[in-house]
Amino acid sequence: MRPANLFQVELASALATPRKAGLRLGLSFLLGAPFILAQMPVRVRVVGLILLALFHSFFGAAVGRVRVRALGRETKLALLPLPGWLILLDRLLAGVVVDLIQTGPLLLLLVAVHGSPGLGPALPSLAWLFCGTLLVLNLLGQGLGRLAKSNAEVHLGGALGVGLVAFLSGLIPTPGPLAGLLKPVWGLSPVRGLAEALEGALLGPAPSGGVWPVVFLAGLAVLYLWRALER
Amino acid sequence: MTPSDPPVVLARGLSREHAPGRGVMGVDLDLEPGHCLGLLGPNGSGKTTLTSLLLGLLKADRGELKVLGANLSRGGRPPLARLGAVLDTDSHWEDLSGLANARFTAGARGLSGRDLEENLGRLFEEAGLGPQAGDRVKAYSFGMRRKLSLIQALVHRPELLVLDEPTAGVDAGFMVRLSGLIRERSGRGLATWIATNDPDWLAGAADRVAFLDRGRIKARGTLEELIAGVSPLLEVRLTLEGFPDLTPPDLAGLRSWAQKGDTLTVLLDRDRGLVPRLVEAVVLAGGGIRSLEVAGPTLKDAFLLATGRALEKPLEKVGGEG
Repeated sequence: MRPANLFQVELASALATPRKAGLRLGLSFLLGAPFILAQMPVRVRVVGLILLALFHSFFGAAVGRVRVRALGRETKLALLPLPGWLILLDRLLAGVVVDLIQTGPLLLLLVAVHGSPGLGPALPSLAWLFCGTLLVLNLLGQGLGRLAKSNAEVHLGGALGVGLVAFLSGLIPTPGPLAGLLKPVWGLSPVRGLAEALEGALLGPAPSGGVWPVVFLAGLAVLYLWRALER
Repeated sequence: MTPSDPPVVLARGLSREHAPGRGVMGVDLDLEPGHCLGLLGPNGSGKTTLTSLLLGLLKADRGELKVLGANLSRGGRPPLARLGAVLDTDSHWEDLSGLANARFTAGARGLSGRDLEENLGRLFEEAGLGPQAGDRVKAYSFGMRRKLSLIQALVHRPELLVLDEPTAGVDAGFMVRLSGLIRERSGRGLATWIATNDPDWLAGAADRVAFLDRGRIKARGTLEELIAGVSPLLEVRLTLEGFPDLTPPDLAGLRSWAQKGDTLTVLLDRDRGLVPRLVEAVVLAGGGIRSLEVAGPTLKDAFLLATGRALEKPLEKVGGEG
Protein backbone atom coordinates (compact mmCIF):
# COMPACT_ATOMS: atom_id res chain seq x y z
CA MET A 1 0.00 0.00 0.00
CA ARG A 2 1.39 3.43 -0.95
CA PRO A 3 -0.77 6.17 0.50
CA ALA A 4 0.50 9.43 -0.95
CA ASN A 5 -1.49 12.05 0.93
CA LEU A 6 -3.35 12.47 4.22
CA PHE A 7 -6.70 11.45 2.67
CA GLN A 8 -5.21 8.17 1.48
CA VAL A 9 -3.34 7.62 4.76
CA GLU A 10 -6.43 8.20 6.91
CA LEU A 11 -8.54 5.92 4.73
CA ALA A 12 -5.94 3.18 4.54
CA SER A 13 -5.51 3.38 8.30
CA ALA A 14 -9.26 3.26 9.02
CA LEU A 15 -9.77 0.20 6.84
CA ALA A 16 -6.35 -1.38 7.32
CA THR A 17 -7.45 -4.81 8.46
CA PRO A 18 -10.48 -7.00 7.67
CA ARG A 19 -11.26 -6.98 11.39
CA LYS A 20 -11.33 -3.17 11.53
CA ALA A 21 -13.46 -2.88 8.39
CA GLY A 22 -15.74 -5.73 9.51
CA LEU A 23 -16.29 -4.16 12.93
CA ARG A 24 -17.19 -0.81 11.42
CA LEU A 25 -19.66 -2.32 8.99
CA GLY A 26 -21.01 -5.05 11.25
CA LEU A 27 -21.66 -2.85 14.26
CA SER A 28 -23.49 -0.28 12.16
CA PHE A 29 -25.60 -2.99 10.58
CA LEU A 30 -26.49 -4.48 13.96
CA LEU A 31 -27.56 -1.07 15.29
CA GLY A 32 -29.36 0.05 12.14
CA ALA A 33 -31.01 -3.14 10.88
CA PRO A 34 -33.94 -3.04 13.37
CA PHE A 35 -34.98 0.33 11.91
CA ILE A 36 -35.35 -1.32 8.51
CA LEU A 37 -36.54 -4.81 9.32
CA ALA A 38 -38.89 -4.29 12.28
CA GLN A 39 -42.42 -2.91 12.00
CA MET A 40 -42.49 0.77 13.01
CA PRO A 41 -43.72 4.13 11.75
CA VAL A 42 -41.74 5.66 8.87
CA ARG A 43 -40.80 8.66 11.02
CA VAL A 44 -39.18 6.40 13.62
CA ARG A 45 -37.23 4.47 10.93
CA VAL A 46 -35.89 7.71 9.44
CA VAL A 47 -35.03 9.40 12.73
CA GLY A 48 -33.37 6.24 14.06
CA LEU A 49 -31.08 5.89 11.06
CA ILE A 50 -30.26 9.58 10.96
CA LEU A 51 -29.33 9.55 14.65
CA LEU A 52 -27.05 6.59 13.91
CA ALA A 53 -25.37 8.63 11.12
CA LEU A 54 -25.15 11.60 13.51
CA PHE A 55 -23.29 9.49 16.06
CA HIS A 56 -20.93 8.02 13.47
CA SER A 57 -20.06 11.30 11.77
CA PHE A 58 -20.35 14.13 14.33
CA PHE A 59 -19.51 12.22 17.48
CA GLY A 60 -16.94 10.01 15.73
CA ALA A 61 -15.11 12.95 14.16
CA ALA A 62 -14.96 14.83 17.48
CA VAL A 63 -13.69 11.88 19.53
CA GLY A 64 -11.26 10.89 16.76
CA ARG A 65 -9.78 14.38 16.65
CA VAL A 66 -9.10 14.41 20.40
CA ARG A 67 -7.64 10.90 20.25
CA VAL A 68 -5.13 11.70 17.47
CA ARG A 69 -4.14 14.89 19.27
CA ALA A 70 -3.43 12.90 22.44
CA LEU A 71 -1.31 10.52 20.34
CA GLY A 72 0.78 13.42 19.07
CA ARG A 73 -0.36 13.16 15.47
CA GLU A 74 -1.60 16.76 15.36
CA THR A 75 1.93 17.89 16.17
CA LYS A 76 3.36 15.58 13.56
CA LEU A 77 1.10 17.10 10.91
CA ALA A 78 1.89 20.62 12.14
CA LEU A 79 5.56 19.93 11.40
CA LEU A 80 4.90 18.99 7.79
CA PRO A 81 4.77 21.73 5.16
CA LEU A 82 1.09 21.13 4.45
CA PRO A 83 -1.48 23.95 4.48
CA GLY A 84 -4.06 23.70 7.27
CA TRP A 85 -7.00 23.75 4.84
CA LEU A 86 -5.64 20.70 3.01
CA ILE A 87 -5.21 18.77 6.26
CA LEU A 88 -8.82 19.58 7.18
CA LEU A 89 -10.12 18.73 3.70
CA ASP A 90 -8.34 15.37 3.65
CA ARG A 91 -9.65 14.50 7.10
CA LEU A 92 -13.20 15.50 6.13
CA LEU A 93 -13.16 13.56 2.87
CA ALA A 94 -11.74 10.46 4.56
CA GLY A 95 -14.24 10.78 7.43
CA VAL A 96 -17.16 10.99 4.99
CA VAL A 97 -16.00 7.87 3.11
CA VAL A 98 -15.80 5.91 6.37
CA ASP A 99 -19.25 7.18 7.43
CA LEU A 100 -20.65 6.31 3.99
CA ILE A 101 -19.27 2.78 4.33
CA GLN A 102 -20.88 2.49 7.75
CA THR A 103 -24.28 4.04 7.12
CA GLY A 104 -24.70 4.20 3.33
CA PRO A 105 -25.64 0.52 2.92
CA LEU A 106 -28.32 0.93 5.60
CA LEU A 107 -29.92 3.87 3.81
CA LEU A 108 -29.75 2.04 0.49
CA LEU A 109 -31.44 -0.95 2.11
CA LEU A 110 -34.09 1.27 3.66
CA VAL A 111 -34.94 2.83 0.30
CA ALA A 112 -34.81 -0.54 -1.48
CA VAL A 113 -37.13 -2.25 1.02
CA HIS A 114 -39.55 0.55 1.86
CA GLY A 115 -39.12 3.13 -0.94
CA SER A 116 -42.15 4.38 -2.86
CA PRO A 117 -42.39 3.51 -6.56
CA GLY A 118 -40.84 5.86 -9.15
CA LEU A 119 -37.99 6.90 -6.87
CA GLY A 120 -35.24 6.85 -9.53
CA PRO A 121 -35.10 10.58 -10.44
CA ALA A 122 -34.92 11.50 -6.73
CA LEU A 123 -31.81 9.40 -6.04
CA PRO A 124 -29.21 12.11 -6.92
CA SER A 125 -31.01 14.51 -4.60
CA LEU A 126 -31.03 11.94 -1.77
CA ALA A 127 -27.38 11.08 -2.40
CA TRP A 128 -26.33 14.73 -2.31
CA LEU A 129 -28.34 15.43 0.85
CA PHE A 130 -26.77 12.42 2.51
CA CYS A 131 -23.18 13.24 1.48
CA GLY A 132 -23.62 16.96 2.23
CA THR A 133 -25.04 16.14 5.67
CA LEU A 134 -22.11 13.85 6.46
CA LEU A 135 -19.67 16.56 5.37
CA VAL A 136 -21.32 19.19 7.59
CA LEU A 137 -21.52 16.81 10.57
CA ASN A 138 -17.87 15.81 10.15
CA LEU A 139 -16.89 19.46 10.02
CA LEU A 140 -18.86 20.20 13.20
CA GLY A 141 -17.27 17.16 14.87
CA GLN A 142 -13.78 18.33 13.88
CA GLY A 143 -14.61 21.74 15.36
CA LEU A 144 -15.79 20.24 18.64
CA GLY A 145 -12.71 18.00 18.77
CA ARG A 146 -10.48 21.02 18.32
CA LEU A 147 -12.19 22.89 21.17
CA ALA A 148 -12.35 19.97 23.61
CA LYS A 149 -9.32 19.71 25.86
CA SER A 150 -9.77 16.13 27.04
CA ASN A 151 -11.45 12.82 26.35
CA ALA A 152 -14.06 13.50 29.04
CA GLU A 153 -14.89 16.91 27.57
CA VAL A 154 -15.33 15.58 24.05
CA HIS A 155 -17.60 12.75 25.16
CA LEU A 156 -19.81 15.13 27.13
CA GLY A 157 -19.76 17.73 24.37
CA GLY A 158 -20.40 15.08 21.73
CA ALA A 159 -23.42 13.63 23.52
CA LEU A 160 -24.88 17.11 24.13
CA GLY A 161 -24.08 18.07 20.55
CA VAL A 162 -25.91 15.08 19.09
CA GLY A 163 -28.95 16.01 21.18
CA LEU A 164 -28.71 19.66 20.18
CA VAL A 165 -28.38 18.93 16.45
CA ALA A 166 -31.31 16.50 16.66
CA PHE A 167 -33.40 19.10 18.50
CA LEU A 168 -32.51 21.99 16.18
CA SER A 169 -33.25 19.78 13.18
CA GLY A 170 -36.70 18.85 14.47
CA LEU A 171 -35.91 15.15 14.86
CA ILE A 172 -37.11 15.27 18.47
CA PRO A 173 -40.83 16.02 18.96
CA THR A 174 -41.15 19.74 19.71
CA PRO A 175 -44.12 21.44 21.40
CA GLY A 176 -46.22 23.63 19.05
CA PRO A 177 -45.12 27.16 20.10
CA LEU A 178 -41.44 26.15 20.18
CA ALA A 179 -41.78 24.46 16.80
CA GLY A 180 -42.93 27.78 15.36
CA LEU A 181 -39.79 29.47 16.70
CA LEU A 182 -37.48 26.74 15.42
CA LYS A 183 -38.92 26.57 11.90
CA PRO A 184 -36.38 29.03 10.43
CA VAL A 185 -33.54 26.96 11.96
CA TRP A 186 -34.99 23.75 10.48
CA GLY A 187 -34.76 25.36 7.06
CA LEU A 188 -30.99 25.72 7.51
CA SER A 189 -30.36 22.20 8.81
CA PRO A 190 -29.10 19.64 6.28
CA VAL A 191 -30.08 16.94 8.79
CA ARG A 192 -33.70 18.16 8.62
CA GLY A 193 -33.47 18.27 4.81
CA LEU A 194 -32.23 14.68 4.71
CA ALA A 195 -34.97 13.51 7.10
CA GLU A 196 -37.72 15.13 4.99
CA ALA A 197 -36.25 13.75 1.77
CA LEU A 198 -36.10 10.22 3.22
CA GLU A 199 -39.67 10.44 4.52
CA GLY A 200 -40.71 11.62 1.07
CA ALA A 201 -38.84 8.73 -0.53
CA LEU A 202 -40.63 6.25 1.72
CA LEU A 203 -44.13 7.77 1.83
CA GLY A 204 -44.17 9.87 -1.34
CA PRO A 205 -44.00 12.29 -2.89
CA ALA A 206 -40.33 11.62 -3.63
CA PRO A 207 -38.05 14.68 -3.43
CA SER A 208 -37.74 16.49 -6.73
CA GLY A 209 -34.59 15.84 -8.73
CA GLY A 210 -33.29 18.98 -10.40
CA VAL A 211 -29.84 19.77 -11.69
CA TRP A 212 -28.16 21.15 -8.55
CA PRO A 213 -27.78 17.86 -6.67
CA VAL A 214 -26.06 16.43 -9.75
CA VAL A 215 -23.74 19.46 -9.94
CA PHE A 216 -22.87 19.23 -6.24
CA LEU A 217 -22.26 15.49 -6.46
CA ALA A 218 -20.05 16.01 -9.50
CA GLY A 219 -18.04 18.65 -7.59
CA LEU A 220 -17.61 16.27 -4.67
CA ALA A 221 -16.58 13.49 -7.03
CA VAL A 222 -13.91 15.75 -8.55
CA LEU A 223 -12.53 16.49 -5.07
CA TYR A 224 -12.42 12.79 -4.29
CA LEU A 225 -10.73 11.93 -7.57
CA TRP A 226 -8.11 14.60 -6.98
CA ARG A 227 -7.23 13.29 -3.53
CA ALA A 228 -7.59 9.60 -4.40
CA LEU A 229 -5.47 9.68 -7.56
CA GLU A 230 -2.65 11.85 -6.26
CA ARG A 231 0.67 10.00 -6.45
CA MET B 1 30.71 28.62 7.99
CA THR B 2 31.85 32.04 6.90
CA PRO B 3 31.19 35.26 8.83
CA SER B 4 28.53 36.14 6.25
CA ASP B 5 26.47 32.97 6.87
CA PRO B 6 23.36 33.95 8.83
CA PRO B 7 22.64 31.85 11.93
CA VAL B 8 20.21 28.99 11.44
CA VAL B 9 18.66 29.85 14.80
CA LEU B 10 18.87 33.23 16.47
CA ALA B 11 17.06 33.93 19.74
CA ARG B 12 17.25 37.20 21.66
CA GLY B 13 15.42 37.78 24.92
CA LEU B 14 13.03 34.96 24.07
CA SER B 15 10.35 34.34 26.69
CA ARG B 16 7.32 32.13 26.99
CA GLU B 17 5.81 31.62 30.43
CA HIS B 18 3.06 29.02 31.03
CA ALA B 19 2.76 30.23 34.61
CA PRO B 20 4.89 32.63 36.66
CA GLY B 21 8.40 31.16 36.69
CA ARG B 22 7.45 28.25 34.40
CA GLY B 23 8.58 28.14 30.77
CA VAL B 24 11.58 29.97 29.34
CA MET B 25 12.69 33.50 30.19
CA GLY B 26 15.07 35.84 28.36
CA VAL B 27 16.85 33.23 26.27
CA ASP B 28 19.70 34.33 23.96
CA LEU B 29 21.02 31.60 21.65
CA ASP B 30 22.67 31.20 18.26
CA LEU B 31 23.12 28.13 16.10
CA GLU B 32 25.27 28.52 13.00
CA PRO B 33 25.45 26.23 9.96
CA GLY B 34 27.85 23.34 10.47
CA HIS B 35 27.35 23.17 14.23
CA CYS B 36 25.40 21.09 16.70
CA LEU B 37 23.94 22.89 19.69
CA GLY B 38 23.04 20.75 22.68
CA LEU B 39 20.53 22.14 25.10
CA LEU B 40 21.20 20.41 28.40
CA GLY B 41 18.90 20.63 31.37
CA PRO B 42 16.94 18.50 33.84
CA ASN B 43 13.29 17.57 33.33
CA GLY B 44 11.09 20.67 33.59
CA SER B 45 13.93 23.09 32.79
CA GLY B 46 12.16 24.44 29.67
CA LYS B 47 13.90 22.41 26.93
CA THR B 48 10.67 21.26 25.31
CA THR B 49 9.15 24.75 25.53
CA LEU B 50 12.19 26.24 23.81
CA THR B 51 12.18 23.49 21.17
CA SER B 52 8.44 24.03 20.57
CA LEU B 53 9.05 27.77 20.09
CA LEU B 54 11.77 26.97 17.56
CA LEU B 55 9.39 24.71 15.62
CA GLY B 56 6.57 27.26 15.63
CA LEU B 57 4.37 25.03 17.81
CA LEU B 58 4.24 27.75 20.49
CA LYS B 59 4.30 31.53 20.15
CA ALA B 60 6.72 33.59 22.20
CA ASP B 61 5.42 36.14 24.69
CA ARG B 62 8.45 38.40 24.17
CA GLY B 63 11.74 38.51 22.33
CA GLU B 64 13.07 37.76 18.89
CA LEU B 65 13.34 34.37 17.21
CA LYS B 66 14.57 33.65 13.69
CA VAL B 67 14.75 30.14 12.28
CA LEU B 68 16.30 29.55 8.84
CA GLY B 69 15.67 33.21 8.08
CA ALA B 70 11.97 33.17 9.02
CA ASN B 71 10.98 35.61 11.75
CA LEU B 72 8.87 33.61 14.18
CA SER B 73 8.52 36.43 16.65
CA ARG B 74 6.19 38.16 14.17
CA GLY B 75 3.86 35.17 13.94
CA GLY B 76 5.62 33.45 11.04
CA ARG B 77 6.16 29.71 10.64
CA PRO B 78 9.56 28.12 10.23
CA PRO B 79 10.31 26.83 6.71
CA LEU B 80 9.14 23.31 7.48
CA ALA B 81 10.39 21.84 4.20
CA ARG B 82 13.95 22.71 5.28
CA LEU B 83 13.84 21.26 8.77
CA GLY B 84 13.28 17.86 10.31
CA ALA B 85 12.24 17.15 13.87
CA VAL B 86 11.92 14.22 16.22
CA LEU B 87 9.89 15.05 19.32
CA ASP B 88 9.40 12.78 22.29
CA THR B 89 5.64 12.91 21.58
CA ASP B 90 6.00 11.72 17.99
CA SER B 91 3.45 9.23 16.69
CA HIS B 92 2.74 7.21 13.57
CA TRP B 93 -0.18 5.63 11.76
CA GLU B 94 -0.02 2.34 13.61
CA ASP B 95 -1.90 0.22 11.08
CA LEU B 96 0.36 1.25 8.22
CA SER B 97 3.87 -0.03 7.64
CA GLY B 98 6.94 1.94 8.68
CA LEU B 99 7.76 2.42 5.01
CA ALA B 100 4.25 3.73 4.21
CA ASN B 101 4.53 6.20 7.11
CA ALA B 102 7.93 7.39 5.87
CA ARG B 103 6.72 7.66 2.26
CA PHE B 104 3.78 9.82 3.34
CA THR B 105 5.83 12.34 5.31
CA ALA B 106 8.46 12.46 2.55
CA GLY B 107 5.69 13.01 -0.02
CA ALA B 108 4.30 15.87 2.08
CA ARG B 109 7.76 17.46 1.73
CA GLY B 110 7.58 17.08 -2.03
CA LEU B 111 9.86 14.04 -2.39
CA SER B 112 9.03 11.18 -4.72
CA GLY B 113 10.51 8.83 -7.29
CA ARG B 114 13.52 6.57 -7.36
CA ASP B 115 15.75 8.90 -5.34
CA LEU B 116 13.28 8.82 -2.48
CA GLU B 117 12.98 5.03 -2.56
CA GLU B 118 16.76 4.60 -2.59
CA ASN B 119 17.22 7.13 0.20
CA LEU B 120 14.54 5.48 2.31
CA GLY B 121 16.01 2.04 1.70
CA ARG B 122 19.44 3.27 2.82
CA LEU B 123 18.08 4.99 5.94
CA PHE B 124 16.03 1.95 6.99
CA GLU B 125 19.12 -0.25 6.58
CA GLU B 126 21.35 2.17 8.51
CA ALA B 127 18.82 2.31 11.34
CA GLY B 128 18.69 -1.48 11.43
CA LEU B 129 15.03 -1.44 10.41
CA GLY B 130 15.49 -2.85 6.90
CA PRO B 131 13.83 -6.22 7.55
CA GLN B 132 10.90 -4.54 9.38
CA ALA B 133 10.28 -1.72 6.90
CA GLY B 134 7.14 -3.40 5.56
CA ASP B 135 5.76 -4.36 8.98
CA ARG B 136 2.90 -2.45 10.59
CA VAL B 137 4.14 0.14 13.08
CA LYS B 138 1.93 -1.38 15.79
CA ALA B 139 4.40 -4.30 15.82
CA TYR B 140 7.38 -1.96 16.43
CA SER B 141 9.05 -1.54 19.82
CA PHE B 142 9.48 1.94 21.33
CA GLY B 143 13.06 2.15 20.10
CA MET B 144 12.06 1.12 16.57
CA ARG B 145 9.43 3.87 16.50
CA ARG B 146 12.08 6.40 17.51
CA LYS B 147 14.27 5.20 14.69
CA LEU B 148 11.36 5.52 12.25
CA SER B 149 10.80 9.10 13.46
CA LEU B 150 14.46 9.84 12.82
CA ILE B 151 14.26 8.36 9.31
CA GLN B 152 11.26 10.61 8.62
CA ALA B 153 13.16 13.63 9.92
CA LEU B 154 16.28 12.90 7.87
CA VAL B 155 14.96 11.72 4.52
CA HIS B 156 14.82 15.21 2.98
CA ARG B 157 18.34 16.12 4.20
CA PRO B 158 17.14 19.04 6.33
CA GLU B 159 19.28 22.12 6.91
CA LEU B 160 18.18 22.05 10.54
CA LEU B 161 17.56 18.82 12.45
CA VAL B 162 15.76 19.20 15.79
CA LEU B 163 15.95 16.31 18.24
CA ASP B 164 14.09 16.22 21.56
CA GLU B 165 15.47 13.55 23.92
CA PRO B 166 16.75 11.49 20.98
CA THR B 167 18.38 8.75 23.07
CA ALA B 168 15.38 7.83 25.19
CA GLY B 169 14.63 4.15 24.70
CA VAL B 170 17.11 3.43 21.89
CA ASP B 171 19.91 0.87 22.05
CA ALA B 172 23.53 1.83 22.76
CA GLY B 173 24.69 0.94 19.25
CA PHE B 174 22.17 3.28 17.70
CA MET B 175 23.20 6.09 20.07
CA VAL B 176 26.77 5.77 18.82
CA ARG B 177 25.60 5.78 15.17
CA LEU B 178 23.39 8.81 15.87
CA SER B 179 26.23 10.87 17.31
CA GLY B 180 28.35 9.90 14.28
CA LEU B 181 25.57 10.96 11.95
CA ILE B 182 25.28 14.32 13.70
CA ARG B 183 29.02 14.95 13.41
CA GLU B 184 28.81 14.00 9.74
CA ARG B 185 25.98 16.52 9.28
CA SER B 186 28.10 19.20 10.92
CA GLY B 187 30.91 18.37 8.53
CA ARG B 188 28.55 18.96 5.60
CA GLY B 189 27.60 22.41 6.94
CA LEU B 190 24.20 21.34 8.34
CA ALA B 191 22.91 22.38 11.76
CA THR B 192 21.52 20.20 14.54
CA TRP B 193 19.62 21.19 17.70
CA ILE B 194 19.45 18.65 20.51
CA ALA B 195 17.45 18.97 23.72
CA THR B 196 18.47 16.33 26.21
CA ASN B 197 19.28 15.54 29.80
CA ASP B 198 21.93 12.99 28.84
CA PRO B 199 25.31 14.79 29.16
CA ASP B 200 27.48 11.75 28.41
CA TRP B 201 25.91 11.16 24.98
CA LEU B 202 25.66 14.87 24.24
CA ALA B 203 29.40 15.34 24.77
CA GLY B 204 30.02 13.00 21.82
CA ALA B 205 27.54 14.69 19.50
CA ALA B 206 27.45 18.45 20.13
CA ASP B 207 30.19 21.03 19.70
CA ARG B 208 28.20 23.84 21.36
CA VAL B 209 26.28 23.43 24.58
CA ALA B 210 23.86 25.61 26.52
CA PHE B 211 22.81 24.81 30.08
CA LEU B 212 19.14 25.47 30.73
CA ASP B 213 17.84 25.55 34.28
CA ARG B 214 14.45 26.82 35.50
CA GLY B 215 13.80 28.40 32.11
CA ARG B 216 17.03 30.40 31.90
CA ILE B 217 20.31 29.84 30.09
CA LYS B 218 22.94 29.53 32.84
CA ALA B 219 25.98 29.07 30.61
CA ARG B 220 26.78 28.49 26.96
CA GLY B 221 29.85 27.92 24.87
CA THR B 222 31.85 25.24 23.14
CA LEU B 223 32.16 21.89 24.84
CA GLU B 224 35.82 22.57 25.59
CA GLU B 225 35.14 26.03 27.04
CA LEU B 226 32.45 24.77 29.39
CA ILE B 227 34.51 21.83 30.63
CA ALA B 228 37.66 23.91 30.96
CA GLY B 229 35.61 26.30 33.09
CA VAL B 230 35.35 23.57 35.73
CA SER B 231 39.05 22.77 35.73
CA PRO B 232 41.70 23.48 33.12
CA LEU B 233 43.60 20.33 34.16
CA LEU B 234 43.61 16.62 33.33
CA GLU B 235 44.57 14.07 35.93
CA VAL B 236 46.67 11.18 34.59
CA ARG B 237 47.24 8.18 36.85
CA LEU B 238 49.89 5.64 35.84
CA THR B 239 50.54 2.28 37.48
CA LEU B 240 54.20 1.47 36.94
CA GLU B 241 56.01 -1.83 36.65
CA GLY B 242 58.13 -2.22 39.75
CA PHE B 243 59.06 0.78 41.82
CA PRO B 244 61.30 2.98 39.60
CA ASP B 245 62.40 6.28 41.08
CA LEU B 246 61.39 8.73 38.34
CA THR B 247 62.16 12.41 38.10
CA PRO B 248 59.67 14.83 36.51
CA PRO B 249 60.43 15.35 32.80
CA ASP B 250 60.82 18.79 31.28
CA LEU B 251 57.36 18.93 29.70
CA ALA B 252 55.46 22.15 29.00
CA GLY B 253 51.98 21.85 30.46
CA LEU B 254 53.04 19.58 33.36
CA ARG B 255 51.56 21.09 36.53
CA SER B 256 52.23 18.53 39.22
CA TRP B 257 54.03 15.20 39.66
CA ALA B 258 53.51 12.85 42.59
CA GLN B 259 54.86 9.30 42.84
CA LYS B 260 53.88 6.94 45.63
CA GLY B 261 55.24 3.43 45.23
CA ASP B 262 54.15 2.13 41.85
CA THR B 263 51.52 4.84 41.37
CA LEU B 264 52.35 8.06 39.59
CA THR B 265 49.77 10.87 39.58
CA VAL B 266 50.32 13.77 37.18
CA LEU B 267 48.31 16.91 36.51
CA LEU B 268 48.50 18.24 32.94
CA ASP B 269 46.94 21.15 31.06
CA ARG B 270 43.73 20.14 29.21
CA ASP B 271 45.53 19.28 26.01
CA ARG B 272 45.02 15.67 24.98
CA GLY B 273 48.27 15.79 22.99
CA LEU B 274 50.18 16.04 26.25
CA VAL B 275 49.22 12.55 27.42
CA PRO B 276 51.21 10.62 24.75
CA ARG B 277 54.18 12.93 25.36
CA LEU B 278 54.01 12.18 29.09
CA VAL B 279 53.89 8.42 28.40
CA GLU B 280 56.89 8.73 26.07
CA ALA B 281 58.83 10.67 28.74
CA VAL B 282 58.06 8.07 31.43
CA VAL B 283 59.11 5.18 29.18
CA LEU B 284 62.31 6.96 28.15
CA ALA B 285 63.10 7.51 31.84
CA GLY B 286 62.96 3.74 32.30
CA GLY B 287 59.46 3.36 33.71
CA GLY B 288 57.34 0.47 32.41
CA ILE B 289 53.62 1.21 32.42
CA ARG B 290 51.05 -1.38 33.51
CA SER B 291 47.95 0.82 33.26
CA LEU B 292 46.94 4.40 32.53
CA GLU B 293 43.82 6.33 33.49
CA VAL B 294 42.96 9.83 32.31
CA ALA B 295 40.32 11.68 34.30
CA GLY B 296 39.01 15.17 33.88
CA PRO B 297 35.85 17.14 34.47
CA THR B 298 32.82 16.19 32.41
CA LEU B 299 29.87 18.08 31.00
CA LYS B 300 27.93 16.90 34.04
CA ASP B 301 30.46 18.63 36.33
CA ALA B 302 30.25 21.78 34.20
CA PHE B 303 26.46 21.78 34.54
CA LEU B 304 26.73 21.39 38.31
CA LEU B 305 29.18 24.28 38.48
CA ALA B 306 27.00 26.55 36.31
CA THR B 307 23.63 25.80 37.91
CA GLY B 308 24.42 24.54 41.38
CA ARG B 309 22.21 21.53 40.61
CA ALA B 310 23.09 18.01 39.60
CA LEU B 311 21.49 16.52 36.49
CA GLU B 312 19.32 13.55 37.40
CA LYS B 313 19.88 10.32 35.56
CA PRO B 314 17.76 10.22 32.37
CA LEU B 315 14.66 8.09 32.86
CA GLU B 316 14.48 4.92 30.82
CA LYS B 317 11.25 4.66 28.85
CA VAL B 318 9.19 1.54 29.42
CA GLY B 319 9.34 -0.78 26.45
CA GLY B 320 12.70 0.48 25.26
CA GLU B 321 14.97 -1.81 23.35
CA GLY B 322 17.35 -3.80 25.47
